[in-house]
Amino acid sequence: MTITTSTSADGSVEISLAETFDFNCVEDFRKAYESVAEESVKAFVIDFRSTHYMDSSALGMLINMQKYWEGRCSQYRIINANQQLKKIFAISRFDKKFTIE
Amino acid sequence: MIQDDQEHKAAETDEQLLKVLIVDDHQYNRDLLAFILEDHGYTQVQAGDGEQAVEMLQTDKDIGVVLMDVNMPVMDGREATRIIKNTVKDRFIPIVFVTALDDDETLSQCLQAGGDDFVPKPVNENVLLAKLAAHRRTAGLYRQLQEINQTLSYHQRLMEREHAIVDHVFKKGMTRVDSECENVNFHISPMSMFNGDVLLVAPSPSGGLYVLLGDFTGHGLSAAIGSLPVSDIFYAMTAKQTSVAELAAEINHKLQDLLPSNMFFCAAILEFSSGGDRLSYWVGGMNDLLLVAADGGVVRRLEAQHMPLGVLTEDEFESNTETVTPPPGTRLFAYTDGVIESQNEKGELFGEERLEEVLTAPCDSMVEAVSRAVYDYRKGGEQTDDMSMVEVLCAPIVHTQTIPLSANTTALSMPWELKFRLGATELRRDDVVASLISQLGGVAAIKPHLDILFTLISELFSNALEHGLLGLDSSLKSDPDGFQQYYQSRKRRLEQLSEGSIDITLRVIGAALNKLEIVVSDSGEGFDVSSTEKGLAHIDDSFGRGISLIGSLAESVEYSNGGSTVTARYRLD
Repeated sequence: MTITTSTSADGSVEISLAETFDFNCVEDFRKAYESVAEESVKAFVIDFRSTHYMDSSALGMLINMQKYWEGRCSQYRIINANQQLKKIFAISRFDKKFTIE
Repeated sequence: MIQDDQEHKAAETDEQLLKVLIVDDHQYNRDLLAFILEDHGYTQVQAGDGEQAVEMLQTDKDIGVVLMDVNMPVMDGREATRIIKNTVKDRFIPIVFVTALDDDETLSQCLQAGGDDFVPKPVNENVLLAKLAAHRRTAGLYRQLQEINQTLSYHQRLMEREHAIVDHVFKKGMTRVDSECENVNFHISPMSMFNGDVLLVAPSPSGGLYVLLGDFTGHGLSAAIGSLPVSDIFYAMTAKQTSVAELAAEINHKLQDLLPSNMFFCAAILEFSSGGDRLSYWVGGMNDLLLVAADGGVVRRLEAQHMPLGVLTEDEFESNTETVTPPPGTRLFAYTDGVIESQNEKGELFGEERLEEVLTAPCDSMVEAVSRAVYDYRKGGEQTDDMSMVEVLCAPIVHTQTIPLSANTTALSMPWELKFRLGATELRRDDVVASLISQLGGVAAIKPHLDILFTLISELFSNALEHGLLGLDSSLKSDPDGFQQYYQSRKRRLEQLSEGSIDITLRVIGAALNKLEIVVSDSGEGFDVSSTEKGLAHIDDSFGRGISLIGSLAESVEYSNGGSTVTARYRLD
């Protein structure tokens, strides 16, 4: 259930998610992106490497993150999502707002 | 004389049972020889002609030497010798002709028939004994050789059989390049039947690519044996999208347990993102990996950061990886020692400089260019080590023949149905859907669909719980604070919930048993689907995606009982 945040040398913030990313994570995830100290961030990188399960509130959380950083971060990347999660991102047209790698 | 005595004694001790067959048609001659032999501890048997001699040799396996007269009635010594040498194949029996004839013609005929030596008549006792001792030694050596040969050929057969079995296992389990990937090109050339080099390639669940190239110390079977656990770990972990660091740590741990201390595994473990533009690597004890520009020329060397795998203990091991972002069209080239250690006829090594020179010119396949250059350099000389190389094009990864996740699943064999009734207590758990999903994890045909089914069942369940039972209003979710408030009041109302329940039924349907029907019904008043979430959400909305997700993931969705029951069907194929 842990979400970890790290800042890399090039100024991007990486948030790594746990196996399940659902409504139980609402508070933790919000804390993760709101507690970033910098005024502006080069990129947010959300790592789905460990994540298998996701519900629609996960999509809401990601959109809320973008709203929070609007104007102060222009790049949002979703990395290491498996094919099934990618399918859900595609269905939800998330590729318009996020770079899905 | 003293020497002779010693020799006889030595001979007797290592050949206690030596029995001599005396063949002569004259009783007097036989008695004379018998007398000498028995006097020196030999046992003896006698035959009056060649035919008798042949018969006796075939029945008496103890006879070790034959003293043979030349001219005898019935069958002479030459004929008997020919037959004996052709028929007694299981042991070596020296045949010594005892003859007064000394013409070259006769002697040569005796040798041609297979005779091993001569003793002239009249017999000189010392000469006879010395020659017998010499032939006994020869026979002894022959027998030893035969025993060793038998042992050897036994072991050879054993080894051939074991090799065949191991070869089968390796072919089945090892030479798995689990992905026909357009970005990858490789060349493997083992020095012997078994390869100490390991090349493993697998697609990652996110559409990227894993590559492992490694080299066990040594070559042949002993080196190859370590590749089995490596391959096992690699394919099990890459299927779960494990990070390169975790892969390296796990393989190291396994090999540390398994390998003797003088054996280790130099390896490069790579993960390419699906776009092919991000490469994470862990390299231990390998030659530099080379990044080659699209138009040729090495632009960067990725040096090994670590010691080989299997050397350091779990505590000492460093799993940190590095990441590079090569420009599109860059190619990565990795190779094992056998490439640069190939020698020309003067014993000079091919070397890294020559390798980089080959890579300077643009070419379609670096693997092909390098292996051609190495063969030319060796000029037909022998290969001294396993030689493997792989190149990966840094561009969006294209799997032409990815083995689908469901490849090894079998269709469901019989229809079944699972029913859950969740009361207030169960509904307060925050892992309801996760635990339901874990029940399904054991069903092979469903396993590849678990991630999607989680989302689908989560949405169906959330709607029933949040709207049907708890009466929450989605429009609360329209701003980030409201979003959080929504889930806070969900929690509060759940805690206060004293009655009400949700039934979930999962059943396998369809003639081919290829569909899962999910029925969720709540004991609440039902809700109007169309008023709760109006079709597709706007891209910026943080809510309202549930219903449309259900519609896209399921083959069909039906609401009944005023919205308190929903039936969704999902295709399993």
